[in-house]
This record gives sequence, structure tokens and C-alpha cells, in this order.
Amino acid sequence: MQLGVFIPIGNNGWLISTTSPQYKPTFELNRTVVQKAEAFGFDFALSMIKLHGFGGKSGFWDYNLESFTLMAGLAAVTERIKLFATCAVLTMPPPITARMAVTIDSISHGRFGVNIISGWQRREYAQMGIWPGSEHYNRRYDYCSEYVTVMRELWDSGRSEFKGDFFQMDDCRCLPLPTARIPIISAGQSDAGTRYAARYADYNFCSSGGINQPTMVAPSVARLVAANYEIGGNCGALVLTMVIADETDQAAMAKWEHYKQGTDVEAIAWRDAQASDDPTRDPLAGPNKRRTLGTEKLPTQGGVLVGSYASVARMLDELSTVPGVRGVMLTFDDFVIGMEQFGTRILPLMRCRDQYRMAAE
Amino acid sequence: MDIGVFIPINNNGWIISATSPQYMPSFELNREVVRRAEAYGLDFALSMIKLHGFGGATEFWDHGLESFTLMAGLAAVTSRIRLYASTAVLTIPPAIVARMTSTIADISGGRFGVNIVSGWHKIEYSQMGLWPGDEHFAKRYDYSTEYVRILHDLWTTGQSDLKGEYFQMDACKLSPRPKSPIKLVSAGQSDRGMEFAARYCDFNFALGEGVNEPTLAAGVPARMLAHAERAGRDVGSYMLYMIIAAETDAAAMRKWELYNAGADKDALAHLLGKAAEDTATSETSMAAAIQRSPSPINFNMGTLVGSYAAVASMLDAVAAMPGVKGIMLTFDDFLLGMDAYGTRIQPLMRCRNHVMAA
Repeated sequence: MQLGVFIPIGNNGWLISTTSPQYKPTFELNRTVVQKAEAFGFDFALSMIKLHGFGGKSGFWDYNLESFTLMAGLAAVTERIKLFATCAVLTMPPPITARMAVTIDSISHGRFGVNIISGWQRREYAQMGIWPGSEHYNRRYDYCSEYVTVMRELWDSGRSEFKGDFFQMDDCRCLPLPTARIPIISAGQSDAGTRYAARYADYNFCSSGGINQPTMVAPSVARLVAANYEIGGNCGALVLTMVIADETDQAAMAKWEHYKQGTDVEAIAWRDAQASDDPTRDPLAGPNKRRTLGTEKLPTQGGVLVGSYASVARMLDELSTVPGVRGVMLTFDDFVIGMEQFGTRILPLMRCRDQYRMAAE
Repeated sequence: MDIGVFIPINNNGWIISATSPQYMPSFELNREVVRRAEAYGLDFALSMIKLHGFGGATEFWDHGLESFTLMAGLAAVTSRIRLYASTAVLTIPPAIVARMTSTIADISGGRFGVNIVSGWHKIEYSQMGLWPGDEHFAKRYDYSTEYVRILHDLWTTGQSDLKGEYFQMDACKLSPRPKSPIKLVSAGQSDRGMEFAARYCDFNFALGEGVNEPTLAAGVPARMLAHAERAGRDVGSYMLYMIIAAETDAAAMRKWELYNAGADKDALAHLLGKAAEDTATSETSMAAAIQRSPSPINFNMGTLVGSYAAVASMLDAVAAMPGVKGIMLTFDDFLLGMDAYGTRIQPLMRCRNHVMAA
């Protein structure tokens, strides 16, 4: 099972609370986290793009850096770990994104990939006058398909003549070619999103749910596996999971309870109001997923593993047995301490990483 | 006098020839160039953005990296030199450029600025379906004006509500903001371009002219001074020159003649052809300057060809022109050229005494 870290490009990481660690995103912080991850043998680091926050008492995600420039900086100060930037497809023309990717491929000597997001939070785009209207909810994966097609053509051959509904290239050029293949990641949970992922992406995020329920993600992963089979794809499931660990289960749970106490209800309300703009009825689509998985009032978005180092290691091993899971992407309450604890106390106990450990020795 | 380097983000730098140094753009090359520039005390490094080349046997500028991601990488491996990235305003929304700027400002510890490229080379945009129509030639500075006003709003207050002809912001947010003011630059040669620079930028790039005629272009910074005075702002000119230096004048001239002998005629034809598409051009514009040149293997860029001492003296002459606040350099070979500049030319420059003394 591959190991990745979802790096804190937005303030407070992924805990929507006033009683969790409070911090602003800086290059310094992200460099520290990624260099630690690289030293511990993590396979990849990824940053999202968030163009508007949720506000509330914690000002959640009101502070966000930009993803491509952040990963470009990180590429220059790392050597082995793979790096992914996130592209909000409504904001940048595909040939520009393609060229940025080739540039980071050059900086990183072939360690770069792109996470494609279609856009769910209308405000991010409406604020800059580029929201195409609510028909985007129905057509977002058609849009992404065209976007990825143009980029693949440019990366494979240096040219694109693609003409679709959303993009029309006219002998578009982009050189140099990347030195290595640039993987594409997506984050679709709905039926449409899963099928798009199977066809166009190398990896797809399936977010987990619940507290200490590492296999709750199984149905979502199964959908991806089924789509792969139907479409002839080979898209691997990546599972997004938060780790809150400590010496004992009780100590870890006490932290989690403390974070819950300060849940920023205003920020959560903003998030949910934005999400409900999408009229979809698919139970695993973004707006409905949280209700389906029972996480809508919690300060995290997605599954959490709370426990001793041994418990967390065991639960991650359990996750690795879900058919179709190719990797896990981790977040922490405190990224510096959490990453350090993970590398020194949890990772050595993870049996599913034995082969990587032995290879490194 | 500020000295900067125009880094080779596209293949073969600025010489359109098969007999000049041939090289691809890479991060490694640009990192090496900038590392040396920083070590020699140069003040800044800037990369352009060029989205379509001119072809020909040398595939001139067919290969290019992207400017913001390149400068972000360079920001992480430098500590003193100022860095500028270029935005082609037709391609990336200002709110996105604003956030990329905050990020690189953070990576660099406050050493970052932005070059505004309004766009004259139509094919760079039409190839991706982004050309708004030929009226853009005449209106590009109006477009750029709205663009920079949004950047300014976001960087200084964290919010923009600008509603103009080209952009409509609706409580657009940016946070974090850069910790220190972001310098804006542009490269307008026309009067309209200089008017834009005078009102919104911190300085303007100007093309030098001629071969070994360091003050031939004096009219350009003089015109910029006049525009700046009219706008009531202190906006100077950074002159662009190519340096082809060697131990002796003769050796340097031999290199220059060799490069000219190998001119990539097909690429040049494309370059001149594209410049001719802008029928609204005024005599003073970049496009017109390129078309005027008898041997444009380096875009009719002001070129200084000579011994290290001769080049040093000519650079001092450039620096002495009224309105000149800095000089931006290109080379035939960027690694050899930068080393020669740092070790043999700069020590002889009176206008760089302050750097040598440090």
C-alpha cells in the first residue's frame, strides 16, 4: 500500500475547530512536513487548491497558498518523494497547466503528477466571475475529460488539435515533453465521477468515514473496481484518512474529544450551504456523502483513526486489505509532530509496509 | 545601478541561429545561472513566458517552461536575489496570479515581483482558443489595467470587487497576502505601453538598440521619464542588452559573426511575419522595432560585443543615460557569460563599485 501525505496548504489543516492546532500555511511548514515524509520513505505528497474559505470563528481555510507554485518550490528541495499539485479546471487553460506540469517535472526530475478537480464550491469561482452556472454540476466530468485529453495529447506528442464542447485547440504546441509520465489523480465519488476516474485517471480518492472504521471505504472502492472492470481501466483507489495518535488509545481519544469540543459550526454551515447548491441525488456525491457516512457534524471531513501507535498501525494494515486500495493519504492534527510520530512509532509497526522497509535496509 | 539577468526559459536563449550555443531550457540550467548571478551580487532574475515558438531548423522557442513554477522553484534555492515571473494576462485569471504571488513571496521571503505581459504574439493565444479577436491589439493595455487593479486590490486589502469591461469580481478574496509590496513591471515600448507602466508599474523594460551603440536607445528611457512625470510617479527603465564578450574585441566579434552566419532564416521569417500581424502597431512598438532590424538574429536586441573592458565601459554608458535605473542582461552562453560577467566585467564597472566593495 502506497503512503502519501496531504499537506497543509490551508490554515488548520483538516480540523474545523477552534480547539485543534491553529496554524497558518507557510512554505516553511510544508517543506518541513514533506522533507520528513521523504526521509520516512513516503511515496507521495499532495496539495489541494482552495480559493475561498469557510470562515467562522476559526477562519477555516481563509488562508490558502497556491498548489502548483507550492509543489514547484517543494520539488526544488526534495529528491525522491513524488509530488502532486491540484488543478481547479475552471481556472486555468489546459495547455497552461500542462506547461506548469512539465516545468515541475523538470524541477523534480520526473516526480510530478496532477490532481484534477472539477469544482464543487461555487463561491470559489463566482468570486472571480468564472462560474459557468449550475449546468456545470451535470457536465463537470465531461469538462474534466476534455481537459485531461488535451493535456495527455500535449504531454505525449507536444501537440493538440482537440476540438470538444469546452475546449478547441488550433495546432496547440507544448514542448519540452515531460521526462517521465505524469500521472493524473481525481477525486470523484459519484457514479459519474467514478467512471470518469476509471477511464482517465491513474488514481482516485475515495474518502473514508467514521471513527476507527478503516474499512468503511470499501463500498466506494468497490465501485471504482467495478468501473475499472467495465471500462478496462486500472485506476487505483487512494484513501484519505486522518491520524490522531498517541502513546495510548485513551490519550489519543482525549485529544479527539478536545478537538470536537471546539467544532466551528459556522464554518461547517457555510461548507454545507455551498455543497447543497449541487442538486445531485447520488448518495456518495460530495454534498450527500457526509450525511450518508455520518460525518456531517464532526470537525473533520472524512474518516479518522484515533488510537495508540499500535492501534493506528493495525487499522492501516486493515485498510490495506480492502480490495482495490492502492494507497492511503494521511492528514494529522499537528503535521510536524504527527509526521514525526508516524515515522518513528507507527510506520515500523505496519506489516503492509514490511517490503518497503526491507528494500530500504 | 541594478543589474539583472533575463534567464533562458526557452531554448537557445535569444539568438535565432544554428551556430550559436544550442540548449534546451531546464530547471537545472536556470538554477545554475541564477545561483551564479546571486553569488556575483546581481540584483534580480526574470523569466518571460512564451507559449509558441518560431520553428525553423533550430526549433527556436518551440521549447519553453512556465514562468511562475520556474521562479517558485528558484525561490526555494536562493536567498538574496529578487525574482520576477511573467503573466500572459490573457491566460491566467488575476486572482490566481495573485495567489501564486503570495506563495512565491512566502517561499522567497519577500523577494518576488510580477511582469505583466499584455500579449502581441497572437498565435500563443489562438492556438488554445484564447484570442479575443484582433481588437485586443488596440485594447490590451485597457485589459491589463483592469488586471493589475485587481492584483493591487487583492494584495493590499485581500479583496476585490472590480467590475470592468473584462473582469467582474464579486467579493473576491485573497489570503494570505504578500507580507511586503509586490513590484510590478512591464515591457511597453509604445506610448500606450509606457503610459500603462507609468501609472501602474514600478519600472518598465526597454530594448537597447544597435551593436556596440550603448546610448543609441537613449530616446526610450527619456520617453519613459516623460510618461512617468506626467503620471507623477517614479518609474524608471530597465534596459535589455545582450553581452557577447571575450578576452579581446576581435575574439568577441568573431563569435558574433559566427552566430550571424548561422541565422535560422525560417524561424526569422515566422518572427517577422507574426510581428507584421499587428496592424495597429505604432512606430515605437516592439513589433515595429523587430521589423526594422537588418539582422534580427537576436530580435534587434541592443548588443555589446567586445573585450571584457570594452563591455564594462559600454555598460557604464548605458547606466548613465537619464531614466535608466537598471540593466537586464542576456548572453550567448549563459553559464560562461555569467561567469565572465561576474569575474571579468563587473569588477571594471564604475556603476557597480558598490557591489564590488561589499
